[in-house]
Amino acid sequence: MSRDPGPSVAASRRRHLLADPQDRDCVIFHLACLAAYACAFWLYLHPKLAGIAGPWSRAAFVLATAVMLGWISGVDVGVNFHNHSHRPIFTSQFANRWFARFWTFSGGWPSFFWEYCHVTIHHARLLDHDDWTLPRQNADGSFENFQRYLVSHWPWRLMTHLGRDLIARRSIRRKSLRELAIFAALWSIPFWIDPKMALWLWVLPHWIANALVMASGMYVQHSGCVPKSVARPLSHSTTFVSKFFNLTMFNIGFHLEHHDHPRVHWSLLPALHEQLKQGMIDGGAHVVPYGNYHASFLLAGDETRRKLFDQQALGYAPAAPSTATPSPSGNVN
Amino acid sequence: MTRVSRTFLSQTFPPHTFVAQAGLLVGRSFWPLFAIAVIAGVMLWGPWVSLTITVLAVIAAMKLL
Repeated sequence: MSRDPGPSVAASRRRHLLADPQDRDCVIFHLACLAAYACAFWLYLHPKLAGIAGPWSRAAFVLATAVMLGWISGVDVGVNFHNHSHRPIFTSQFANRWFARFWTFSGGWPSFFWEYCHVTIHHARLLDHDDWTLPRQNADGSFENFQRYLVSHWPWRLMTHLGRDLIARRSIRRKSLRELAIFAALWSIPFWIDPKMALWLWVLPHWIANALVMASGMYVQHSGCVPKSVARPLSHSTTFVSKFFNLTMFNIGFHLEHHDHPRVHWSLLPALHEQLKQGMIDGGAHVVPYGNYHASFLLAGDETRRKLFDQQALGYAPAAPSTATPSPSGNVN
Repeated sequence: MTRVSRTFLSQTFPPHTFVAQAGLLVGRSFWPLFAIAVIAGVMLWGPWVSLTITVLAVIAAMKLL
């Protein structure tokens, strides 16, 4: 499903830079992220002005800044660029290609590599055994330990799989190497300015963005889920309906709807959710009243805390009891 | 599915008033704006306050979001 304005409106949009007016907010979000990095670098390089000349005050600054930069970079790539990978935000292919390169480098990714992982692997093979973007599965179908996935996935497992898929395959090797070279040129910029600053305010935030923010998102969105089938068409993803979470996260909480309709524009997902709501309730879809962050908190905990993730949001009680399959927390019912 | 998308467009989304559009813009950019405030705020209130705000924000997100 997509906005379908008709041929006359579509023709007039060709004159516009953005494919959808709502995508202006995606651009502003990314520019604000780059501004945050620039601000952090400038303060680090002017310690007396920032009052961080001493070792402890500088450590406090680095810790606070790295966490904030990692947090917003995780959202900027894992959510904001993610939407672009499904529906490019510009009407010009050239603008899409180059803005993407300047989009993901501040999250530690070549844009083509991220798109490949998400669209070609994750969406096409969702929850199959060869969907290596997700946590590994135990014998009972539940996900591996939350913390183990976060620590081992980025960049270690990803580099192995990407090396095998992209560099080893002749058909896309040249493009992959070109994109990798462009990424390396952009990503190295902070190292040319100050290598120590780059480690603390560039590499560390990228680890936080990928290992903590994006990986935890992937885990909670599909924990306890099963591959789509005729019998279980709505059990491949969890939907998170917190309004504040979805407002500040480009509606990524409507994840079940997104996987079933990946070409629907992100701004239309709440309306699509309303359209599909009754079917989701009848089909036993897993819907929770919070967002990814609280879900991560629950699934990172002990068995008692993980079981809380199984609870449905008010108004989404399933119509029929589920069969003996893993529950969303990974417990077998 | 096309019919469904036309239904959306005929309703309240996207918002047409300036205030509603500005509210959406600020809301969607909430986290990077918050990050800039915490980082740049070091000049006003020092790094320890920024670190405290960051820790509180992470805890609040884990508990509420």
